[in-house]
Amino acid sequence: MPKPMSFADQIEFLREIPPFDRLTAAELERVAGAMDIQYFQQDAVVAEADSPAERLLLVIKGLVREEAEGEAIDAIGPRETAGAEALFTGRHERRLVAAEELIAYLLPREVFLDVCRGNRGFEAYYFEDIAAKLENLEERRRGAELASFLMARIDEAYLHEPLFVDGGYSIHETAVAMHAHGSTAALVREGDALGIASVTGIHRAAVIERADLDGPVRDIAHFDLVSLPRDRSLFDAMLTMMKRGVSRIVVTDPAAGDGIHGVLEQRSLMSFFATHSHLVVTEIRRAETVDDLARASQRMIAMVRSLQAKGIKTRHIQGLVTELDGRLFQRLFELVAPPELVANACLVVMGSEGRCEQVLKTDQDNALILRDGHTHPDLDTVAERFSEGLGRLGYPPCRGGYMVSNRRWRQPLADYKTAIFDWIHHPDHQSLMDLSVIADARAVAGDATLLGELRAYLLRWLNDSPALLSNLARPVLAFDTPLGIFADFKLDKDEHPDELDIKKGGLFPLVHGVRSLALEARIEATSTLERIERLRETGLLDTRTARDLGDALDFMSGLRLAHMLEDIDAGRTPDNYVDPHRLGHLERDLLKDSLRVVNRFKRLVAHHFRLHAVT
Amino acid sequence: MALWRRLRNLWWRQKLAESRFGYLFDPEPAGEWVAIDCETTGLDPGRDELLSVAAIPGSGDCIHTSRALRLVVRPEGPVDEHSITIHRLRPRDVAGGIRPREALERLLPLIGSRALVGYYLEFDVAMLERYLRPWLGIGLPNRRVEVSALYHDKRIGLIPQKPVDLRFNTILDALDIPRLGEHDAYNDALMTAMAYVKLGHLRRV
Repeated sequence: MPKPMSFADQIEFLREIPPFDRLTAAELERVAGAMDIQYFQQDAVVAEADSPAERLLLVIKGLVREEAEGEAIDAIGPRETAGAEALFTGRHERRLVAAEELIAYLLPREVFLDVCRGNRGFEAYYFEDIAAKLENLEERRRGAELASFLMARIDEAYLHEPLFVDGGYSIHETAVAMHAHGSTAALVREGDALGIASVTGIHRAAVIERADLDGPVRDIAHFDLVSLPRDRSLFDAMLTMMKRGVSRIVVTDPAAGDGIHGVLEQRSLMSFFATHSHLVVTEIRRAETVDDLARASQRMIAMVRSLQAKGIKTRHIQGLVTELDGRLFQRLFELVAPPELVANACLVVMGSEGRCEQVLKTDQDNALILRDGHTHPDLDTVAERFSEGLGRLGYPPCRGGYMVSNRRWRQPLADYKTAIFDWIHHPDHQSLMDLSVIADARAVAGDATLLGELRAYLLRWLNDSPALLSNLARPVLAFDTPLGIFADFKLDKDEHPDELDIKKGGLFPLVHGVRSLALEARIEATSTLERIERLRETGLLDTRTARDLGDALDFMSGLRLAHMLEDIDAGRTPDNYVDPHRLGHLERDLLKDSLRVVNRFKRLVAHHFRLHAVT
Repeated sequence: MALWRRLRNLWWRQKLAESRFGYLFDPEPAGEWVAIDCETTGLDPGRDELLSVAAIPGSGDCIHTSRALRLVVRPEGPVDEHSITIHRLRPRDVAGGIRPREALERLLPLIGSRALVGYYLEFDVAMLERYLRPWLGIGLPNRRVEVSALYHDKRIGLIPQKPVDLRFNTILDALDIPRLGEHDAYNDALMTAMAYVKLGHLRRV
């Protein structure tokens, strides 16, 4: 009997949803055949806390709210499951309520556990933490990137320009020419034939065989040249090198005069994949003008893109970019400021740059701290030129005015101290913001001890005022965690997609909460990851929370980065609005997990600073 | 129970040709129902034939899809080409189906004495009775719940003058029932069941 369409619909529906996507066809059929559908009115209790767990919920439509001690801690929307953990233990630890009118599939506990026993991957899904899921995602991405790497054309890799010598050249002359040309091989012409002499070959001839170095190079050249046309894939090139046991391939081009395009070295093939960061560093070091720096700066976007596509963890990309940005700022400052000013001032970056979390140039947040008593006649011009220079390097001006070109942010140390004292003792919206910004300051050029002194001052006075710390931490609760957005995931495909502000909803509360806790604990580190680590060391965060926060931060930053790169590609101004409907299931899942981590953390911060008690 | 139905069922109970189906006349179990939908070669129950039937039992707000029946029926005559475009069951799809009587043999135990829930149920019941009457000498004695009538009653209070749009899709939209792929007997029965459950909670649509 043919299988009726409708049953296939049900299986199709399941097949798309993790972890059901890990099931075999037979298991899917079993699960689909065992499910019932239940309707719940809005606010109906789906499961009471401490009641026996009998079924897994798979939401078709609507939203389930998970509650612990009367507080909503999670939202489960269409195509997501609720109550799995309870099925393993047999009891619902938390109350499940229909936050909206709900239609859900119900899978009996025994079938669920049975499938778990038979399918490790399915079971593992419910025990994997965010780190394991991330790993999984990165592996997939790497796979895709590897494929595209192998499919890249030979001429996309770095090719050496061919060096031609005549067969009658002496070995010595050839070696000298190779040295001058900076290459490790020379192409040897002998009538119509073309051969190759490499450094290794010359080394063997001269050192091992003690050949006459004035003898003709043709005697040591190989004339069975290994070559490939320039439009073949790098994969072909790699195979050819392996098969023929050579470490370079002559790349041919029928359109070129002599038919030769260049030489592909095995090393270039391998490093095609590696970053070009060393190029950027060299370029920054050698820069003599702002334009030189601008070129290096531009190269960084391509570098970030290639690192991101390779599935490199966002925290590593951030680390690299921070390093390069630091050198960029330092070099620019040296270019525009006279040495005596550099020696008597400290250039600091703040905001995301200060936290080592800026990857794309989103804005310039910086300030200058002058040594008390030091004045410089050109200070105003230098500051102006510095901010303008950063603009040319691609850093848009800071909308909050946190720039050295703003008089408020280039002051003697003593004046900053006075300002901080004022902010702390007469806090308002602006001063709390200023405190948050300066709390993330990091020295990039000049005398770093100036910032050290300022930070010590800030941490001391902040801790004198617990009420202020509470007020400082309060914005952690300013925006709702957008878990509910997943509920809008309609089965109907032409619904208008809703977007999620990943910064407001996820990154900001995490970063700011960590910042607040770190300031209270007098932690000097500015990067969020480092602050989390310090907080863990001092016991303020438990190991699990610390790891979850780090992973969530990493994942959401990565998502934001991918989104911004996409915006740049499409010629749009990069923003923070991620469309969850366009994410893969695994990514959606991770985003939800990350937002849950943020949600838990918000509760922790609120409790710690008694944010619900203070009005 | 309406008097006429009680009298009719007494009469049918006497007429029932095979006593093993006596359970059809048991008292209706409280809160239990069965949503059914048929697909046929056309819209004339006297002439057209059954192609597939789906029945999904429910109790209260739970729809027991795990116990649902989905039967493909092999018609006794040729299939009208025009109707294929609606139900998408080609002759080769139904060739492997079962005979109508066998379909009823499997359907009746599931239905039992439960209330039948359907959209334009009259047609589905007439279709099934077409095969039932010559065999057992009776129609289906079950109470019938017409979803479009339920919907009509809850809709009418609002705008009494206007005629109520009772098309299936209109009802599904008004009740915000999720769409479940192609229209076939099973999906339609399932959406009907969802509409029925939801209507049970609404005072007005």
